[in-house]
Amino acid sequence: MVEIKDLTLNYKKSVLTGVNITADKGECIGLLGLNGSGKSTLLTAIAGIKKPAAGTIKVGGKVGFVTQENALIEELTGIDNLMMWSPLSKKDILKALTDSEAAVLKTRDFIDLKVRRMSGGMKKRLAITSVILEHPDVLLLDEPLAALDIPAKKDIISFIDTFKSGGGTVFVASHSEDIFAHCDRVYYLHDGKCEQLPEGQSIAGALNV
Amino acid sequence: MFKAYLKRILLFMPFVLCYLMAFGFAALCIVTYGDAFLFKDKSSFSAVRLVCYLPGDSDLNDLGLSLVSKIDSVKETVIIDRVDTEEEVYDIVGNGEAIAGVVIPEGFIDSVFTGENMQATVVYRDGGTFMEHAVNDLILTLSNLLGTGQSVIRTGYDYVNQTGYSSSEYRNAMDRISEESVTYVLDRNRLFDSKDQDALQVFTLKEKMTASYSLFLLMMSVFVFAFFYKGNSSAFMTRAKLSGYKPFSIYLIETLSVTFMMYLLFLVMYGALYAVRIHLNFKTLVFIIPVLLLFSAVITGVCYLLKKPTAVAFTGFGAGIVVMYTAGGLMPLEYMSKFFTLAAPFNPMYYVINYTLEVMFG
Repeated sequence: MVEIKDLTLNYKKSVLTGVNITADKGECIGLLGLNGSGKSTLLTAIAGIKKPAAGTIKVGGKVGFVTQENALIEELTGIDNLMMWSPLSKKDILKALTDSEAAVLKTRDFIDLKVRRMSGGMKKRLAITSVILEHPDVLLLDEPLAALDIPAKKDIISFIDTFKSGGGTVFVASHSEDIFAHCDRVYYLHDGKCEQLPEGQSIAGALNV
Repeated sequence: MFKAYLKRILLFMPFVLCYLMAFGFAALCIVTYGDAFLFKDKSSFSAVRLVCYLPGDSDLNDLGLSLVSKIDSVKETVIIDRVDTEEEVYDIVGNGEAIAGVVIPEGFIDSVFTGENMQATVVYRDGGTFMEHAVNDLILTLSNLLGTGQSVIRTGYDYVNQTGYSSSEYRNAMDRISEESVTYVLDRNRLFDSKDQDALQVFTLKEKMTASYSLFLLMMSVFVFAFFYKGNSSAFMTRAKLSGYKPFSIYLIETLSVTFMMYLLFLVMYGALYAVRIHLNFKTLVFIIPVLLLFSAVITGVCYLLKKPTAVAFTGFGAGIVVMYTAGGLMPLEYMSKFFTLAAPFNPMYYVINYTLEVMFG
């Protein structure tokens, strides 16, 4: 689980204050906001990369963070990228790709391709798989559906559901309405504040567009 | 992580070798032919003309002229033209077509061997220019040397007479001695150990340029290596941190990877230099490693600071040229203004070049 209390974060030239979020096991929290509203910064703070100016963040368990820009090495193949971070052998990784929750992502289909030859959707699924192989308890996804086609979006949303049902906690920052439908709560970040979006309010309405 | 980086190194090497092909050839040409450009002014001399009349009564006349013409200090400076008559010598020198002339009289060689010692005539004009004065002095010096030679032979002649040898025995002995003398003159380094300061300078210059251009090539490989780093990507570093790798570990792995690639690059350069007969010390293969480590550590650091590979490549290129130039690595300091000579010791690259020079050539 994740417990954020009275959090204040300084980022770029802005400040995000009064963040209070609690997420239990098996819950998905959506973070909504315009560009530069502090969504990625908040995820970075939950991951423990960025120190908060004030307040506390308690995370129970291991954190996996899939950043907006992928951390893949373009000249290597998919399997090489997975082996780079994972202590598992190639054989075990290949097995995990079909037997574990990562199977939903269908990474096994393109695992031998070099990353530079992969589509955006393949890269995103590979990046998530790479993180999942480390068995995180809390998964942070930053814009996981950005610039993806419909099948890739469907695969990633299915994966989020699978991960949740396995007892994992998910934080997802996005602009996509599709993904928020699968979130238990959505928080709206604006003007340096973080407020829970009332149930039933549309995203377009929240963003005032 | 190590396995992945090893694989990346293997995949990256073709790009590194392409870089070497492009820049290495140019550097090799500069190292091989650079001295020709730098020393061009010193190898071109203005020639003056001398005329010489030699009678046809002895082959030794021709041999003597040939020997004089081949003396290094003469052949680069003086053109000696042989004329058919004694009068021509006076005419040509008189009308200024030649700076001086030499007339060897009939029976000159025989007179040397009989001890008569006839005099050769040197025809010259009052030197109007420095060049004419210098040539006149040279001719008179040669004339004095010839006179000294004649005196030595005359002494030998007197000595032989005193010991009662016949004239024919004397001629035989003189023939033998003159043959040996000719050999001796041709190989006169036995007497004078000549040191051509320009040749030494050319050699030192080649060594220094080989060292500095090798370093420059390694340094400019930043153009390729800037695209190798991942540690400058915040996404990659976030991933690494969450997987338990400290930023310094990534910095270290990348520095060592680039050092390894630079070393492979250096091995190719070592072989290429060997092929053009520039032989580096064998120990260079070991002692170059600290230099490579230093270079890759600095380049990796710049990569982490600037983040964008193209920014790193062009900053590395610009900074590399400035640092190498001011350290005398691109152009020898001797050819640069005094400011650079005085400033060079304050540039760390100056010491890196000197270290590499020492390691490569001892």
